Amino acid sequence: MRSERSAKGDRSGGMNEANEATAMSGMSFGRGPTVKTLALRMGAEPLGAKDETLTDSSVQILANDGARSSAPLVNMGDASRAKIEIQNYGFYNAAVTRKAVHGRFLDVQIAQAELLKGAMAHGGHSDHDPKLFKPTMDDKAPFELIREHGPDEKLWTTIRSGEKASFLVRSYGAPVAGARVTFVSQEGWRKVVETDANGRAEFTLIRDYFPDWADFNRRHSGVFLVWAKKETPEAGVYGGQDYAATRYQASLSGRYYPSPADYESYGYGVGIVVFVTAFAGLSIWLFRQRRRKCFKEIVFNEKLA
Amino acid sequence: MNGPFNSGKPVVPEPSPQSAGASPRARKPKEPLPFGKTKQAREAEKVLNHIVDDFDDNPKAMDYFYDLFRRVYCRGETIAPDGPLIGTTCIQAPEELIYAMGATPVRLCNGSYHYDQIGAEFMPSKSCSLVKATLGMLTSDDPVPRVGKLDLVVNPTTCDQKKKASAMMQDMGHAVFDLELPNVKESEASRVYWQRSVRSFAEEIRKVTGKKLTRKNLKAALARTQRAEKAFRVLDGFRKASPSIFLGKDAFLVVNAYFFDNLDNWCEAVERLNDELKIRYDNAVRAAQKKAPRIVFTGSPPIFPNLKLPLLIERAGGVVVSDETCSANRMLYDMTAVDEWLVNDMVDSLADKYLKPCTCPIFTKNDDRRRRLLELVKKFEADGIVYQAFAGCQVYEMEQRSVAKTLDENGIPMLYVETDYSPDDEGQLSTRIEAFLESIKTRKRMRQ
Amino acid sequence: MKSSLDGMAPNWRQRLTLPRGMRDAINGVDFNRFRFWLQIFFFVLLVYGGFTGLNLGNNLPTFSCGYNQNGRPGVCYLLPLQHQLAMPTKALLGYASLTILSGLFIFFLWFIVLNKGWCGFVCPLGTVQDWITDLRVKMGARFTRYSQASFETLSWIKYVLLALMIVIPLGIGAGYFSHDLGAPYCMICPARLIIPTLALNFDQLVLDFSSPGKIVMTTLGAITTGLFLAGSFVKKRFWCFFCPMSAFHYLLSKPAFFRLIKDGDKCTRCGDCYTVCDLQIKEIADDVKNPQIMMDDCIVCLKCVAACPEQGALKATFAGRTVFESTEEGFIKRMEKGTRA
Repeated sequence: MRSERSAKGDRSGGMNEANEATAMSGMSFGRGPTVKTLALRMGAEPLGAKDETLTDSSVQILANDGARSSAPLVNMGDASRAKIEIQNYGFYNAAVTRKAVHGRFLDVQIAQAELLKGAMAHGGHSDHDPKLFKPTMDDKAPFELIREHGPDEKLWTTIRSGEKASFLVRSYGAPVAGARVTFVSQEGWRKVVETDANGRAEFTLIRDYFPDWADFNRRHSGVFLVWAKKETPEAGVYGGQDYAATRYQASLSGRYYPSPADYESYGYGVGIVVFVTAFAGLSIWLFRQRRRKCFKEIVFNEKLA
Repeated sequence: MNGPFNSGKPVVPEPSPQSAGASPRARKPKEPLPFGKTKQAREAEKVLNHIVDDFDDNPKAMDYFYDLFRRVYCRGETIAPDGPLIGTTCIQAPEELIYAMGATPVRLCNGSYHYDQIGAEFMPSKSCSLVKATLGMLTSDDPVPRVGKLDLVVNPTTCDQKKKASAMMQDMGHAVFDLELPNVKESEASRVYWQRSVRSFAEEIRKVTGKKLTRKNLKAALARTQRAEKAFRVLDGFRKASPSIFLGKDAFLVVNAYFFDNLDNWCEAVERLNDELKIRYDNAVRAAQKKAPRIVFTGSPPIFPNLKLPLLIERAGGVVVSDETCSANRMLYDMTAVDEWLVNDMVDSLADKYLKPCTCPIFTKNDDRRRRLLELVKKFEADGIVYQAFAGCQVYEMEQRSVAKTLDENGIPMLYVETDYSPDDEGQLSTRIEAFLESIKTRKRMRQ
Repeated sequence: MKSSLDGMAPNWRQRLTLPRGMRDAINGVDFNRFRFWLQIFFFVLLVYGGFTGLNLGNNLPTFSCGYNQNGRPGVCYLLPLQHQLAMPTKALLGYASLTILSGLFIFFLWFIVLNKGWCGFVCPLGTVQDWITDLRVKMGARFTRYSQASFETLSWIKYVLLALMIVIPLGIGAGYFSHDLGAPYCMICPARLIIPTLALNFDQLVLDFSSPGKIVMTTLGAITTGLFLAGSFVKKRFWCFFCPMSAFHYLLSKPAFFRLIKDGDKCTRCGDCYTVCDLQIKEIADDVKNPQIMMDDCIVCLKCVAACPEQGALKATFAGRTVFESTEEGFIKRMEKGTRA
């Protein structure tokens, strides 16, 4: 019963570099479909993102077994929402695409989200099937941004600050080199890198959660936002308008948690174990030594009335 | 069996005060009589001859024991001890500790009527023959078995008579260690108390021998008694055979020999005996009649030469198939289990063995003794129980009632015999035993 | 009584004349060595089995510690049980009750096979304690016993822990306690620190400062682990005495297949079984009335059976059939090995 959060990016032209959307999923137990709700939001930083509406669009879903489906985006007031059912364990890919011609460019904005149906934290038959632990990639997508999973990552792995997160930018299954990838932490710290020859961009999830100790919450999650941009010379016509080049932008968001190093101490833990062992051991030894001496005389208390 | 003891002048009509008075007088002249001619030697020889000659088909391997008793009791030979000699007055003194520290235990409990009479001067007239005989032997200049100079006497604080004997032995010039035995054995407190007692006992032996208790020497000692216990258990197993292939009088003799014999020689002899009994068993050689009543012996311990009651039973056509006495089964049956084989653990385990299974009547409760008797009857397919209580052995006398009740509830006939070392009541006992055995036979016939 | 006498003679004859059969071989086995190797087998299985992909489920009645995430082949039932009990009370009364009941049922099915033999033969934490004991014996240090009074008092602790282990999660679900007290027993269980560490996962050795609840629980866990290490060095099976799983087992043990049976008639109360008992259970020697002699502290290690010199006085049965019983020959063999070593 894991809650899955995902994010979608969107872009309107102009100044705003990027847009962001987050969504909350529902909860579910055990077998049966997991229902996830995605919400479309837009903004340049995770905290500043606002709900966004998009009409006549739907979310395209690629399951980890390759099945494709779609779910309509429903507008409720100022927000677009989509409800998605996931049948099988594993990671699913969801994407909403918006296209518009601005001047000589076709802007293709893809808001992506990684959806997960996870297993119970302990045991479960999906525990040991490594196929389920991989991200789902779409070889037919013209442009996509994927978070790479670590070698030990399983269905319930959480990402923690201090760790490295790496992302792949792909086009039709091939890595895209030289794409600009921007990472923004929850508090707005950002970094931009270009993808290497393998289409990979790597960031350190810097710690940006510094509450007072009394307010510290081990389960606090921060949202990060990543987007990748690439301009291609693809020309064509869209909606009756000619364009000479295409600007792709894919966004992806995710959650990260405080690093255990922020609140866990091996020193104190092992220290207490060693101290108690030594103290108890010494006590037992002294007790045994004392028992070798004569037994103690019974002494009556003279002060009792 | 009216023999050497009464050959003195019949001055007083009551035989036992007369003989009791006779022996101190006999000691006075102190002229060195040849050993074979002494009263104790003649008493022993007579019983031994009876055991050997009046029964057919004694196992060949029993010759070792017949010979041993003849040498020690009739000819006065000494069994040389290894290291200091430590006398024990009860089975509760852990002999493994004695062996481990390089000393040799000898059990002082005595069965001689002669010494019983000598010892009478220490104790009230109505006292246990065994205690009197032991005191009588210890006070003699020329005791049998020839234990020689004792370096220490270990006296477990069991019954009142043995407790009080402690100071008397000290007065005789013996070094006595009172091994404190609790009166209750069920409680954990008594177990811990006893384990401490045994530890201080080990310390006491260390003072005598000057050797320390080590894992190695204690293990070796345990291995030696283990061998004896194993041999005993095998022997005990053969007594289950029905019809019997081995008689109780020989079994008592074998275990009595354990009191003073060299441990390793004893083990070898018993193992030889076991080999012979195995052959007897395979060839279905019978030592008694097929329908001979099978008797479990309980109560005050028969100790050579006082095998009066077992011999009477077996002369009358019964077989003593097992016993619940401290001169035989209770002494060698129980075995020590050790978990860790460290000195501390071994000593505690030993202590447990000497306390927990003990069915001695000096403890407050006797549930274990009664259960043990029922189990022995079952295991040895016995037909009845003969309960011997030495006159003056209060604890056995007092337990008679509860034992009789339990046996009655289980339909097991019991003959209660109050007697002492004096041979005077043999005729009367013989009649009672014959009647008892006859009633058992009748019962058996009725059942069929 | 007559009928039991009838059975004796052929039995005795058989034992004398027949060559030693299978039964004798089993009863005469060098039991402690057999158990030593069997424990190693189960230890490897339950601590490292998960690396092979083995999965025995979440309801094991033994300390296959859930915190040993990669090594375990299944999870000790106490962890999921505490998690399940901490669900919101409304859920507990609804659909989640089925989850709990089905988990309990599977746990029970596992359990009745071996009864508390899970403790004496399978439990990896028990095996660790036996190894610590072996180490002590090698070092020549003697063991410690509780006094009878302490024994009786301490014997309640496992029931208290069991009660807390149920009440605290229920309190969490009802909103009285913080989730930081989740899986309270696991947090103080020495296995949480020791078992993952043995699988080279050191994550549990930390003190968690993230909240007061976590600080308390992880500190307690470190303290119990320290006490465990020192305690099990001097006291055989130190922790088993306090283990709520042991208490839980005992409450469910009536229908179990694997049993420890005592024939009181054959018992001489020599105390040999009590002497070797790791858990200091006096009844094993003293109780001659009750054939079902497995007491609540018992771990069914069967050392008592191996150390009993009376033919058939103690035995282990499976579904009514004797699988291992005390024999004179077996006893002598085992003890002779001890004195010779």
